[in-house]
Amino acid sequence: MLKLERVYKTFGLGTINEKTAINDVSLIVEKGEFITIIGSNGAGKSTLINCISGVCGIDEGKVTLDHVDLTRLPEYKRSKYIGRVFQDPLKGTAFDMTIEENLAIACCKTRNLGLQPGLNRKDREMFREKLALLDMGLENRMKQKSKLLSGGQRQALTLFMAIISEPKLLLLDEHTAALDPGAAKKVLTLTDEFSKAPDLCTLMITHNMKAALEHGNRTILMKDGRIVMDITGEERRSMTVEKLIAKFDIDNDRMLL
Amino acid sequence: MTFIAIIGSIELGLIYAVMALGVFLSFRTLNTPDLTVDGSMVTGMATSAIVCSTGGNPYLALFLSLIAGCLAGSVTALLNTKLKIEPLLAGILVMLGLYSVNFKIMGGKANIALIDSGNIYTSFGDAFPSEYSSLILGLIVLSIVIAALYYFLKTRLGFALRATGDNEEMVRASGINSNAMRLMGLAISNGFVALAGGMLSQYQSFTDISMGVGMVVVGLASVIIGEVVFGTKSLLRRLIAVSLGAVLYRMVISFAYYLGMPANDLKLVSAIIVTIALSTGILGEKFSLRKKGGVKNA
Repeated sequence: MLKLERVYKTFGLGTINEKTAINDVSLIVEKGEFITIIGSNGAGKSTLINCISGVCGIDEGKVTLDHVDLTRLPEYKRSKYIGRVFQDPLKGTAFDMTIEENLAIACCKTRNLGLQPGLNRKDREMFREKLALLDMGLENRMKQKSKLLSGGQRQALTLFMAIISEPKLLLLDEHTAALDPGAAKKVLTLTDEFSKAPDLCTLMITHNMKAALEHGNRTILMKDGRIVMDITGEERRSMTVEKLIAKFDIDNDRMLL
Repeated sequence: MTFIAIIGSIELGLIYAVMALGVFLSFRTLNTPDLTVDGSMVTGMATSAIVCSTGGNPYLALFLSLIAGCLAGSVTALLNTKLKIEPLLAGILVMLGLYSVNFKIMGGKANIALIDSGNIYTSFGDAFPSEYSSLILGLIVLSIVIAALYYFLKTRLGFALRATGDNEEMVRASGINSNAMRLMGLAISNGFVALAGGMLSQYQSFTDISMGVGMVVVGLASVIIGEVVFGTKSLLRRLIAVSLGAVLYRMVISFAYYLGMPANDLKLVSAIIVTIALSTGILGEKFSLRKKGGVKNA
């Protein structure tokens, strides 16, 4: 269970560029919940994700994950419990390393980092077996460098790396925005599948309101650093993109796409 | 060029190969050109020289050189990660500071000559008398360094280190402390550099405070020449290529001396070689059409 308690984050405090990105946000995400986050540019969606993952610290409040207080933990320590996929497909993998080496690094979350061989036969068999589930033929390309993959393949691989060590929380920051529609659909389907893992909380930022309502089981809308809508269950099922626009006076064309 | 001169330049090249592998680790693996090298090379030389000249064991001297280099690299890494100083500038600062430190290590003298003190080359030559004993010793040390580096880069820690140079964000997202990886990488890198310095000071029985000037450029030249000439297909091949690059560079330099190049022109020639080598990527792209045809014919 992820719990945010009265979180505040201001950038450039005391300067003319001062911007309150997160303004008194409290949020509880239960195990098994898959929340889609929408909101216009600058609403604080990415900052919220970054505050949870530790990319940026918070000014006030508390972040806990399954009773572990993350608030003061550095990013790399939080990553032991958190899987992440970024918007930029280049950010998810080490481009000059092979697919299997990338997977081995992703497995380090739950393993000791030492002078053991980085890959053994057991690892390779396990990777091959699991990669086959992606249905992209990556299991036969394990010795190829990840820079040879297409954006969609890379994002699928990153998603796979994010969940391979069974995190408690999956954070997706517009992870399909840079992909062509076909690849985006494929990655979203995989996301649905992976988010079904028991005990996993998933947060997904998207600019696509239709996708936000179609995927996951709860949707929140952010505006000016606050959560202004939080719908689930029946209310969410009856929600449409048109109603959302009417209700929140959304003027961002990009969100309508 | 005489046979002895060629053997001599290979012996020297084998020492520089160890340094080049250190530079490879920072420049290629961590993706950071590390200028500490100019200082840490001399730190290794100074440490080795002072231990040998005071009657210490020459092998112990090399070990201490290695440790001293690791410390120097660690300082650069800490300046970079803790104080957020740009890697290039952090390297320059440490390089500058090391100049004074090296003076202190050498007991305030600008140079030390090892005339009567034992060194690894004489002791190895006594144990295995041969014309080529220095060559063999150099090969043994280099082989150990290559094997250790190769094995290390294939471990989990090695994977994490390589990924840090590739994509630091991904490394942190994988629960790995990327700052610790930088520290480790720069420490090992400068450890190798200083080890090479220690060997060099014993090989030539002479250490001068200013011998490190331009060392990083020599290292870069070796890395690039080695990769271009001998290939980068696999990691092991790449490490061997870098080592051969250092030997080749040394041979080219001694050949240039033989043809009458003034010794003081060496730095300029080194700088030009590295400039050409660094720009080949861009030039290669421009001439890619011609290249393709070449491949077809080959």
